[in-house]
This record gives sequence, C-alpha cells and structure tokens, in this order.
Amino acid sequence: MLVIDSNTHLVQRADDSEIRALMEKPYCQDSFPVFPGTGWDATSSGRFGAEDWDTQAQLAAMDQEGIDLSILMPTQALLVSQIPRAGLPTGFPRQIRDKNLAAAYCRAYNRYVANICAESPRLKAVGIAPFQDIPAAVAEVSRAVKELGLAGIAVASLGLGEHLGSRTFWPIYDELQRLDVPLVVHNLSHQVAVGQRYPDSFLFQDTVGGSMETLHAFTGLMYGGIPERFPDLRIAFFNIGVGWLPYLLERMDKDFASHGAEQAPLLKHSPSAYVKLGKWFYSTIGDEGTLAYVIDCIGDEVIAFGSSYPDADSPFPLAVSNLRARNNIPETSKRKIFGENATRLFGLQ
Amino acid sequence: MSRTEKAGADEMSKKDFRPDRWIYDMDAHIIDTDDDILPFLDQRYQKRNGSLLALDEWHRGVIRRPRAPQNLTERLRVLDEEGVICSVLFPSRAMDVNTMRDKAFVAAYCEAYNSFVADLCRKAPALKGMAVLPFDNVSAAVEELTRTVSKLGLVGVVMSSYGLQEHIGSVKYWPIYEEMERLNVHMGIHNSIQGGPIGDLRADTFMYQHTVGRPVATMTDCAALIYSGVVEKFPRLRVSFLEARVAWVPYWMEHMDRKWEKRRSDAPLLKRRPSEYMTGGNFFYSAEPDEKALPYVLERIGEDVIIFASDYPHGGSAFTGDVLRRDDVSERAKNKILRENGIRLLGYDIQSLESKSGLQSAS
Repeated sequence: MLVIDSNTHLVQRADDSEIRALMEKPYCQDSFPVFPGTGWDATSSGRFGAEDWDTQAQLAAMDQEGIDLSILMPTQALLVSQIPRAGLPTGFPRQIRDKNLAAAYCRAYNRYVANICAESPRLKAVGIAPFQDIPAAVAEVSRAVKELGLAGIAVASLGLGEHLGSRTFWPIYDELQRLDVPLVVHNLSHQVAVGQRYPDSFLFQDTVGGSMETLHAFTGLMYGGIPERFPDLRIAFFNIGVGWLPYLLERMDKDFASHGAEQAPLLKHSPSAYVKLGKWFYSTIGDEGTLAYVIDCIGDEVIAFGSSYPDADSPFPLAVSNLRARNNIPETSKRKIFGENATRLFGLQ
Repeated sequence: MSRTEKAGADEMSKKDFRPDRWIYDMDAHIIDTDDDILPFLDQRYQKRNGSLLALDEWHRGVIRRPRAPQNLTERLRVLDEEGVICSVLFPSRAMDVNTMRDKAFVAAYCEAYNSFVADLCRKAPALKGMAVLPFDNVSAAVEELTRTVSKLGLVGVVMSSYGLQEHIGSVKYWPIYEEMERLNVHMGIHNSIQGGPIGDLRADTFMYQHTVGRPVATMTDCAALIYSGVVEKFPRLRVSFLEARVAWVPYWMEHMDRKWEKRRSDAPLLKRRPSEYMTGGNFFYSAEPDEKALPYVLERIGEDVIIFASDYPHGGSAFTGDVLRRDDVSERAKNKILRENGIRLLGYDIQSLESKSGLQSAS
C-alpha cells in the first residue's frame, strides 16, 4: 500500500539563517531574524520539536514509519502573510511590514525547499506566497510551481486583512487553478487568533489557535463563493483533524438556507454539496476517534493521512501503524487515506 | 412503561399529537426592549440619550417565528401547545451588555434587566429567568447574583463572553462561580451573535459571523473553563453550552486531550483529562432537534449531558415535536434530553419532582 505523509513539517531554524542565506541583497546581509516572534514557545522549553532535523533525519523517520513519500509543509514561514493592521490590541505579535521583504522571503523559502526536494525523490514540498502583495504572490506561485516544481502553496489565514474568500485573493486562486496545484490552508497554533487576549498558557493557545482559525478560513472560502468561481481549484485544510467538519457543515447548511441567497450570492448549492464534489481535502493523523463517523458523513475520498511529524502532536513512530491497525475503518478507505487521496490532491504522477 | 415511552408507542404517529406539559426548555428568549427595561432602571439613567445598549453592526435579516408572543398569554399558550412545563428565559439584547465599558451603567442595566425578568416570571410558574451580571465588575456581579437568586428567584446566570476583559476561566471571575455554586444555580453560556473577538475583524456578512462566531467563542469558553481548573475548583458548578449544537463536543474532547497530554504543566489544577470534565456532569450541551450528529454524539458522550433548547421565539427556533419524532434517538434518551437533564442542570431534585408530578423517571 502506497503511504504518503501529506503533512510533514519542515523544521526551520528560529533565526531563519538558512532562508536568509538564500535571500537577495540587501536582505541576506541583515543579521536579525526575519520574524519578530509570536511570543509563544511551541517547544515548551525545548521539550518538543527536532533541533537536529535535516533531510537524512527526515528520510530515516519515514523509513521508521513506513512512509514512501512526504509532503513538506512550512512552519514559521507561514507567518510571512501576517499583515500589520491598525487598531489591533497590544500584544498582537509584530509582523513583517515590508512587503518587499515578504516577497523576498517567499522566494528564498521556496528555493530552499526545492533544494531539499532535489536531494530525494521521496520528498515533495509546498511553497509560500506573499498574500499581502497580490501581483508578487501570483508571480511567485507561477515560479514556485513551474520553475521549482513545488506541489502547491500553503497559507495561514490569520493576519490577512480579509478572510480568505475575499476577491482580493482571487488572482492567486486563478493562477493556482490554472497550474493545477492546490491551496493548502495550514494555520499555526501559535498564531494569536481568538487568543488576541484570552489564552494565558501555550496549552490554551495551541488548543484554540490553528483549529479555530481554520474554521474561519473554511467559512470565508465557502461563503466567498470559491467553489463556484474556481470549480477546479483544490483546497486542503490541514493540521486540525477532521472531527470538526460534520459540525461546521451542518451549521453552515442551516445558515445558508436562511441567508445564503443574499449573503453568499455566488453559491448555487448548500455548502455540504460543494464538499461532496471532492475538491476540498482534510488531513488526519489517523487515530482520531471521530474518523469513522466523518467518513460516514463526507466519504473517504477527501481525507489524507498526515503524520504532523515532528510536532508534539505526531504519534511518531506509530502514526502509520495506528491507522493500519484500526478495525472500524475499511481497508479500501485506508488505501485512499494513505495514498490515493494525496496523489489526487497534489497531482502526483 | 414510562409516560414518554407510552407517548412514543401509542401517540407518536398521530398527526395531532399534543403532549401534556413535562418538558424542560433550557433556552427560550424574551424579546427585551428599552421600554421593558426603563421602568426598572435607576433614575439617573432615565434620560439617557439614544438606545440603552450599544447596537452591533449586523443587519440580521432573521425572520421571527410567525407566532412570536405579542403578550404573555400568547407565550403561555405556546408553552402549553409545546408541552413545556419549565421555560428558562434568556434575554435577546441584554446579553451584549458586557461589551459596554461604562462600568456603573452596566451594573445598573443588569439590575434593571434582572428586576424586569423576575417581574415577568412572577406571572407564571413555568417561566424561569436567567440573570445578567456585570462580569468585569466582580464585586458588583457577586452582589447582584445573590440578590437575583435569593430575592428575585432567578435560576441561573447568562454568560456571553464577547467583550469580557479576560477569558471566562480567569481567576478574576472565580468569586462569581463560588457564589453560583453556593446558591446552587447554573451558568448558561450563550454567546452573543457577535461572538468571538476574531470574528469582528473579518466577517463581512451576518451569515459568516453567525456560522463561525458563536462556535469559536463557545469552544474557546469551554477550553478556558477546563484549563483554568474551574471545574476542579468548583465541583458542583453546572454550566450549559447553548445554541452551538453538540457535534463539536467529541471533536473538542479529543482535541483538548491531545494538547493537554503534551503540556500538563500549563493546566496545573487538572486531576483528570479535559474530556472527563466535559462529560463528568458539570457541563451540559444543547442539541438542535434536527442535528444529524445527535445519535453519534449520544453514543460518544452518553445521554446525561444533552439538553433541549428551543430558542423560542427567535428565528429558526425548535419545536419539541422535532425531537419527539426522531426515530434515530431512543425514547429514553429523548426523555433525558427533554426533561431529566434539564432538571439536573437546574439543580432540582429529580426524585421529589417526579413523585410530586406522578411521572416516572426513565433512568
């Protein structure tokens, strides 16, 4: 059985020195980190994360799990699309204010992961684009896919001035659809989200951060009419599991029935009908209690295995064997979740 | 055979099925207006300019249920028709009171609203009012809580976290929870439709805000109460999570357990897994009567923590018959959802209630 890990995390150096080295002048000459920092310590004082991550360590971990191919997701590079806005409460992390710096960072990051992928045919990666500068983002999507061979573009929606369905971002989606690569919504748990004020521990922040933000991304893309306007665009909602989907979809269908004609005028069908078209995907670590139920609700064609290695959330080195051993998931579904769905999502082969 | 089972077996198929009054509706609404509140409001605010509450920015476009009560008689007739013996009343507008910054006015408004709803409830024993409190003014909130329960007979506290200065698990609010526990009243987490600090930044339609605002706020509130150790500290506190459905509960239980396993030191007061607090009897969750996930959620978290909430007379409100007619939920579970769990949430003694009313408990 083909096993693709559709959500592996590239471990970046905290000071971004490896990316900075690939940036153009004058950015490569700066000595300070690109990102000002979120104020959270996701490693819990070094208890989590892999300091010694490199390509060989990644391949060895894949061998240990029994993974044939991994898709590398950005980690702190996702912060590049956070756009500063007036009026945010103090405590909101400082962000990149210089759009040229953001674009330069994206180019360097994409080059960096393309170099890593060149080291092994078992590694693929998605890139990033500067969503704060649309023409630059479109150009970078095109370069990342056509010149660097990246398998899609990831975005963290938090920090954008508008929700992801906004027309502002449509030129990017146009290009992604034209190039036949997916948009991967991959939020970071240590982004502030709901937690602008509330979370007072990393535990709280990690619980509500990426998960709640992704519900916003899903809602924005749906009500913004993206499945109607970009019917061939594949979108993945990664890193928060699948158990939220039946919940949000039923709520959306109900809201859509009351307000949809006026407030989501581009949609011709209920949100759940678009989900059934099979263009939007979701990742599972594999041992979620809700997985069998979610398959009952939305089918087994759009859920892709992603180990989340080497994050604290990953059951490494048992991610693959946990899912293999489950007796409430049919073998045909496992085959799709392990490999076939990711193949379709990322247009592999 | 219990009364419910009999109803299920003999009467469910009848088109004109009308249960007697036995159902506990844990979330109905008053359409509270400035005209209702003014007679109870402190003299110094009588000539306040403009609307008493800050209005939110949404055009809701919600059509009220056609038979929204124009008066008390109409409301009581609907309760009869729906078989509701106990209707727990939440405000429609006053739950946004804590978004306002004028500390003295917020306290005065809460007092006036509570006196108004208590006055209404005195007119019919089926009506049970929930109090609004000036949460960020903790000493005033505790004092008002004591008054509303011991003098006015209200049965719980409305919590809408949008606008609060800290998350609802914060130690700041613990004196309020301590007093709720002492007075044996519950807290109904009923987030305003504005709900969720994240939502006010990006939602560009009311539908967007409604879809995602309240779930995000409610799930955040749940994590806040658990991680901060409120349930451990106040083991008799009862909390309901309203109008946010139940399908999020299994997802959130597992999600929180996973996070907590890795960082227990961030929640030092916890003695059990987050999911155990969620199903341990302190928390109750209101299901939509037609929620597809209900049988699955019952299977995952049991029958004892799901309650009925009609939302009457707001748009899209539920009918008790919508629950009773379901063929994928057992009669025993229906009885618990529609009655017994609500009784426990209110802190009433089921045994004595059931013997008084001649009803048998299904459990």
